[in-house]
Amino acid sequence: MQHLNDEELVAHHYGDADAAEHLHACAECAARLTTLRQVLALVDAAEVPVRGAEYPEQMWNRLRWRLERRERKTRRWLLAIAAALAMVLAGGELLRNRRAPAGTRQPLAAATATAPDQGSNVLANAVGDHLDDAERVLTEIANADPARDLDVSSEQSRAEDLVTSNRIYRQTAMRRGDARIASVLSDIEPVLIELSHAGKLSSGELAELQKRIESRNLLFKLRVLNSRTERPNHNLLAANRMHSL
Amino acid sequence: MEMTDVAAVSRARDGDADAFRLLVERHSRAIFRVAWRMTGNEHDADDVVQETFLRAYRQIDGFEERANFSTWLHRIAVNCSLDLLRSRQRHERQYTNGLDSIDATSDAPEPDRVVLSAELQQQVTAAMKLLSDNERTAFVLRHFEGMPVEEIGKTLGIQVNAAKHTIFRAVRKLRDSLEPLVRPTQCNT
Repeated sequence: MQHLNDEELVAHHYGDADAAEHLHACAECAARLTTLRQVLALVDAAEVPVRGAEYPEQMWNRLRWRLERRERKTRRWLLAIAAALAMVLAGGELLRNRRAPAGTRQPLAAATATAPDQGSNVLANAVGDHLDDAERVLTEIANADPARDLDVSSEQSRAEDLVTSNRIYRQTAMRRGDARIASVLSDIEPVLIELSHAGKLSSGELAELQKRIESRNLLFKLRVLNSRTERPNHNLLAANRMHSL
Repeated sequence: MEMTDVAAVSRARDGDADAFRLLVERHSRAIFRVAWRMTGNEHDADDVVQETFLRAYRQIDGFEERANFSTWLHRIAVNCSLDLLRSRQRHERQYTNGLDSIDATSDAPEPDRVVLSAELQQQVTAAMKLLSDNERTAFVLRHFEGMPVEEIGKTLGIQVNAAKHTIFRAVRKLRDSLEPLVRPTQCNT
């Protein structure tokens, strides 16, 4: 009698082939199948690390932050575009006003009132989220161990996004004459740029960056500005976060 | 009445964060188990769970309501694990710290389970480490997930026969390593 080869035994075990007839008649192959099943039972018995009842909650907390960041990122871009459009509209209005005959000109304040006021809310809302993100990045850097190199490659694209949005908000704030926002955004921009170019910070570079953050009180400025920034819109996840805390 | 997965998905699609949270709470531990078996590393498994739910959130519009959410999620978890394993291969990192922290985190085993001694556990761990990433994946999908060979082939991007051989090689390696441990039992019975 020709015995089953190993592959046939495995296929039979997983139900991919039917060798029952042979196994019924062949004690040797039946014994080999028993051994195979005992081996696999050992594998089954190896314990998977158990995640306790708190695990889903922990996982949700990790996810919530990333989902929220993703939502904010999308919203920030939309708001930045809206702010830029508001600036363009205001600029167009000013230009039209200048070209109009002297007698029909509106006062400057009236010409800039509509779009910039709309832009103001938009800007405040968008900048608040931007400040949150920038603060998180800078806090991570400030709290890193200066005795060790720091791999920031995973943060690079985040820093690149922040640099881009930082520029838009800074320019918008300058045009609107909001020196307070513009100044803080100018202060943090070099650090964000450096992070966006750094794949890995050596301990020396990290220490230097931490020194800059500290000596210029960047985190303090960010927090003060953030606390003073009105944000009328709160998304669902943010509300949910507050609810969970 | 408890919300079904399908109802939760439907509400999550409409931006209901609590509904998505329910899905995370309901499925995260099961996803961790498959991720751990695939990656062999607790930290990687945690990352896979996180990535799985992020992808699920992004792709939730693509979930067909007649499908089983758990199966859909498991498939995403398998793909996330594979991505992680491939990324690890690209970086020429070896699978070194596989099932290394079992004792530190495991709760007491269920009474009706076979309880392995610490030594046996280590040997099973060592045997699993001998599998290549593909072998490990194919084995986990067939043995623990019950995935058909054809599906495993599609998942791994190989032909059905190659998938069969991969599963077979994995089982053979495990048997070669672990058979000496089960033989005494045979003699005693």
